[in-house]
Amino acid sequence: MNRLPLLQNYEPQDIIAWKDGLPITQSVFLSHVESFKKILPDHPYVINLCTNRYHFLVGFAAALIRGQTTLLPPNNVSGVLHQIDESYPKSYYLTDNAEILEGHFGIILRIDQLSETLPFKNPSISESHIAAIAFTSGSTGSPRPNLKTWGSLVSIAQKTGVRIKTSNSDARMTIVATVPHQHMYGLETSILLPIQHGWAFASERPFFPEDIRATLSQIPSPRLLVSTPIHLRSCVTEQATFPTIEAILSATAPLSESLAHEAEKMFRSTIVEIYGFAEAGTIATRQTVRETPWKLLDGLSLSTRQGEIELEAPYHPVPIPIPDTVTLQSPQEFLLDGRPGSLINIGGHRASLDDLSIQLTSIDGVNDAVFYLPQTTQDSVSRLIAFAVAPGKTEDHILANLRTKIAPAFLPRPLYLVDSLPRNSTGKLPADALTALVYSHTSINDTTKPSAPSIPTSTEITVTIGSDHPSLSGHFPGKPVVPGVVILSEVLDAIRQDEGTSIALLEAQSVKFHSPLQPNVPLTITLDPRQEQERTFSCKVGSTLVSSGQIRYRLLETHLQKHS
Amino acid sequence: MSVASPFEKEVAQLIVTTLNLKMDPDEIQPLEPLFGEGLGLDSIDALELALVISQNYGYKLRSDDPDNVVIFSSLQSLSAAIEKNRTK
Repeated sequence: MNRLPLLQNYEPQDIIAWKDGLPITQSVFLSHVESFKKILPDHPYVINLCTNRYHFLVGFAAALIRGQTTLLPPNNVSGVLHQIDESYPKSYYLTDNAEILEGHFGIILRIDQLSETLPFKNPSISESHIAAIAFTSGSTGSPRPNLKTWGSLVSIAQKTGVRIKTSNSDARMTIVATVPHQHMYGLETSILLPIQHGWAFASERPFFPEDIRATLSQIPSPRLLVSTPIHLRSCVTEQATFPTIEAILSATAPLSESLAHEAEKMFRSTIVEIYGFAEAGTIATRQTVRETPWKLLDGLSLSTRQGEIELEAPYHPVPIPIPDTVTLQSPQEFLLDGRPGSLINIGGHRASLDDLSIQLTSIDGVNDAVFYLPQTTQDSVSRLIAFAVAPGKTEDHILANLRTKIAPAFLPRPLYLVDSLPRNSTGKLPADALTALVYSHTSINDTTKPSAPSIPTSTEITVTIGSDHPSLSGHFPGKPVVPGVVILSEVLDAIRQDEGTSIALLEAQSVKFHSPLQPNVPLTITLDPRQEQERTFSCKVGSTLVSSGQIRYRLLETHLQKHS
Repeated sequence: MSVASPFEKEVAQLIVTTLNLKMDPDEIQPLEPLFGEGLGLDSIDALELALVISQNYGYKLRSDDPDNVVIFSSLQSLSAAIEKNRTK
């Protein structure tokens, strides 16, 4: 059986991690692992709850060498841990902060009690060893396991690294991650990426913009920030002075092109967006500012089988269906069109509305219930709302129970208690009846979660250019395409509408037309927040980028004549 | 039940507006927990709140601040922390 080393490019004196501003070398790390592995109990499974990233890695590596499997629960909600405990009775948990989980066998990692000078060699692990199991919420209400072999984790880390390396490919990056390492995205990018490329990482998990700035300042350049659109939006809005970050990874939610632009400018960085899901891990990347299609990692391919698009990878024994709706552009490139039906993603947690409704209905005293996801604005987090039929029960009682079953991000905000749900005669809840129910309990403005008043927001306007538009008569007869200048004039109109006054165009910068626009197709124009009479715009049909660029203009005093 | 001070009312209004909570700011009890039980806020809310607190008062929250448990424990303690650290 083929074995792969724990550390790629092992150099004893190279730095692997920064903890409290101090470096830890690869040799000290291997000694810590050697010392800790002897303490581990003889159980096959470990739930590694260490909050410090370096401590987590020591526990993860020691478990690997002992032939153990690290379980990655979707969250620390007690009900979920209990369910995993039932399926994996021979598991123990590992913590670095002395928290006691009642009814579980656990041990505490105390790094200062481990030897820094034990003799060791760079361990290697069988590529077929199940290194980790990531859990996703299944449709049945119990967490579904996704097995990760050591070989697949190593392979994904190596292939992802290729997409990040800057022109100076020998540069040793130091990683700061705002995401938890117990999440697949965090595990792959903040644990596997550094150990498979000879890179280093900061052991802290900074959260607020000020933390991120402080942690970045404590580590050497070149820096790699592993983050999410939510954190990036915070940093951009905060407008603090950040050190140069050579590269940024973003995942867990779609990153808008406008935010990607702003973040690249502010951090003097290149942003690589990652697409993946728990079943397969990272599968594709794109540089959001420069590319619309996603490029599969090298050696992977997509194919259509019985109407379903599946991923094939050398490290997956069977093809894996893609959970999102995608359009294939080539076997190696695809567009992401969204999420089918009831699947949702909030703050990087995926779930299905059906499953959440089942969880809510399973609470004692709840007779019927449904979850609903309101429309959301880009780069902000939407919150679910829920309706429950629970005679004699209070919202507090239901929420307290629900809190033990589902991740906090999914808790309804708010939960409405109703007498009944508008189910039809077959027991189904028609979409329009549900929408009407939502409407009767909220106003339209209430169903979206707007940014705070002080946070500038984007403007979105949808227009349709009819096939009777005069410009189209000579533009490719039989196969009409809307000319770029017509699209630009719609963008200028949108700016006029948003400013509420006439404008004079000063300059159109880096305007690109990415794909042709056909008449009679709704085009969504997104204008970034106002900035000194300069706007970045993007035009999309669905999720396909049609045009993007920047417009500089001057406001004119006259009031807007309604443009027709 | 304690009565909110004028500044606590201002912060309560900020919380309700920022997080789009469907409640009256007066319903937030000064000593009630903001996270977990109580109002049931989570980490994404903390990030949103930190942003508007920084913009409105110039106070930049840090997650490695050992006082965080206290700061976020209630409206009263959050308001006190803002008043103590505000720069505008």
